[in-house]
Amino acid sequence: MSTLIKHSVASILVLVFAIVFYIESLKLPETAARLPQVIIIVIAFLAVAMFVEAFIKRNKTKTANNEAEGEDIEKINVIRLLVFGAAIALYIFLINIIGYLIITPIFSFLTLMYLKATKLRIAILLSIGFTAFIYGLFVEFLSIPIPMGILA
Amino acid sequence: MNEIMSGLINVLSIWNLLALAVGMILGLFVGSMPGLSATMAIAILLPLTFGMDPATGITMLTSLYMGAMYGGSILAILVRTPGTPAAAATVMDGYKMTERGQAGKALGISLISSLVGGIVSGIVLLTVAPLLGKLALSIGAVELFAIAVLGLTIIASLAAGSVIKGLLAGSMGLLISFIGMDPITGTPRFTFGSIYLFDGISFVIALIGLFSIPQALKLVEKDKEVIKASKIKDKMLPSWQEIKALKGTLTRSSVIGVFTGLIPGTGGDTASWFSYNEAKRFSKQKNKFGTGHTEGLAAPEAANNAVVGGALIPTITLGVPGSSTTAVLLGGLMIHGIMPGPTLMTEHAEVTYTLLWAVLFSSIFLFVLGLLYTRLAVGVTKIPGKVLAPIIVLLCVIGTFAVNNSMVDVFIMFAFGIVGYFIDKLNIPVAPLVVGMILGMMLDTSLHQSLLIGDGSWLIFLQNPISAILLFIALISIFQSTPLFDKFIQLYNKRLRQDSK
Repeated sequence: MSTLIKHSVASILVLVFAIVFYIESLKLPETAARLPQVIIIVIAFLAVAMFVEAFIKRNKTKTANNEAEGEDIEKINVIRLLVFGAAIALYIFLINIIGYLIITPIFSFLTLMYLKATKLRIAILLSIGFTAFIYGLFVEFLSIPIPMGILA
Repeated sequence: MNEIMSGLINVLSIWNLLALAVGMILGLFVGSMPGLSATMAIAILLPLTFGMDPATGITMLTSLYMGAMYGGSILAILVRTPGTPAAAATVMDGYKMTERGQAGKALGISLISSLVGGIVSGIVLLTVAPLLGKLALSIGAVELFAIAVLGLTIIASLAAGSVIKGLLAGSMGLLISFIGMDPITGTPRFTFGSIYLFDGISFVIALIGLFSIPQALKLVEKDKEVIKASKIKDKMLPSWQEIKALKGTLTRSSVIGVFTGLIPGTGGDTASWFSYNEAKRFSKQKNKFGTGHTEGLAAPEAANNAVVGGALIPTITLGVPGSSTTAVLLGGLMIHGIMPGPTLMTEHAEVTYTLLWAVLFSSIFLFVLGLLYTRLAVGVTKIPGKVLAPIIVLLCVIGTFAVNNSMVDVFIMFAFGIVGYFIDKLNIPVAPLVVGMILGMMLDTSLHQSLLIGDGSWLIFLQNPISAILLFIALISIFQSTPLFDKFIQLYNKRLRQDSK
């Protein structure tokens, strides 16, 4: 994705964010809405300015720099990133349902294996060892309850 | 004086000394690992300090900050890759010494320089902060509003990347801080009907997400080569003669570090390059810089540790943090309900003075533990980033949950993490965003009080001379970083040349 497209998308998202917040601010009493409204207008102005800046920059460095940037982006393993991100989301979602003590070693083992981070034996040891460490630290030492899920 | 003494007694308690040691070991580890940052480590540790006494918690976090400053240099010297941006100037002469087989000596000089920088900054902090703290108490709402605006605009305009992005990040941070119950009218603001947002977005939760999840994602996005660190074969501690020869450089660089730290938006990286250039300018052996010269190594190393004390001065006395790291450190106080602002030096004097002493004592711990850790660091740098990524996620999740025992918070943290990843890809600086989140409430309350004083007129900010000057400086700080300013300077120079002709 070119720098200009990335910045355009970001500018649009920020503008949408600003509009939604502005509409919400209209429901507020004047005192509570005063500063937020000023800030929202500043944000909207800066979102447009960010797009204009990216547009001017692209025109200035149209050739050599952009190609170099493109190469750098290609090095990112998008699929691995997406799978890892989705795994985190799924892990958070399942903590309450299945329970922290069961899902945590599963998540760490599977991600370590998927990322080819270490050998199978070390991955198993790390997953169980780290869950035990967190349990000891948070539950036993700091007395913080953790979601037990089906173990409750 | 009493507060200073009680701070000293506090820091010397067994628990606080232990906290200093643990924080230091973690800081050294994080600093010496490529891809991990002190800010991230402090953010992850914040929930852990929740269960501790506020003074113990802040002691541990400060020690971590100090340790990471030196830890970053280990990689710079052994591998030519700075572990933190603040260690970039260390590469210049540090790595050259390693190439000559003097890795141990280079690390020893770096350690001694860090010790001197840390002690100087600790002394300055202990002397200046109480004085400024007293002065800060006489600051009224109008001036406080101007200070917050100035702090935010300077951070936004000096942060890496464009000033537009810096200001945008700062404004977004302000807006996020307004989510929740309005303290003046009691009306829920921007909660969109959700009861989870009534208390606002916890600063600590946002910090964990913003600094840790992007780091974990970045560790897996690319196939990074395994780092091969050089072995340390020689003696680490330099001779007394060698240290004595560096005293001018060490003193100058420490002073530069403290003063650079004072300016919001600048940090260890600016200070180390600044002191490196000054050391070169004052040196009798200018041509030796860049070839493995001890002065070239001592200068940035003393400066980047001295920054810690300097950066804490505005953070503590005014409640205006100058960087992401100091903002996160303030989070360590906020998690205990201690709000940033001039009251830090009065109402919470015991905790604040413990923090001031912690800076000084952590330098001593740095020297002792640094000596022991450095040889181990060669092995530590071999831990692959892909092993660390899932571990970071596990710590973030349980840490966030621990703050309020809420899984909703964990989802909010993750959302902040995703946003943090993309804003990093767009080169939008995170520092103004977190500083904006801290200053939002202060701005809102002081604006309300100021307008009450001025009978609703915004002119009150221009009628008050201090506030008018501060706001003018804020305007200049934005203007100087725009292309308009360059054009203005060009035009001015052209006119000067025409006049001289």
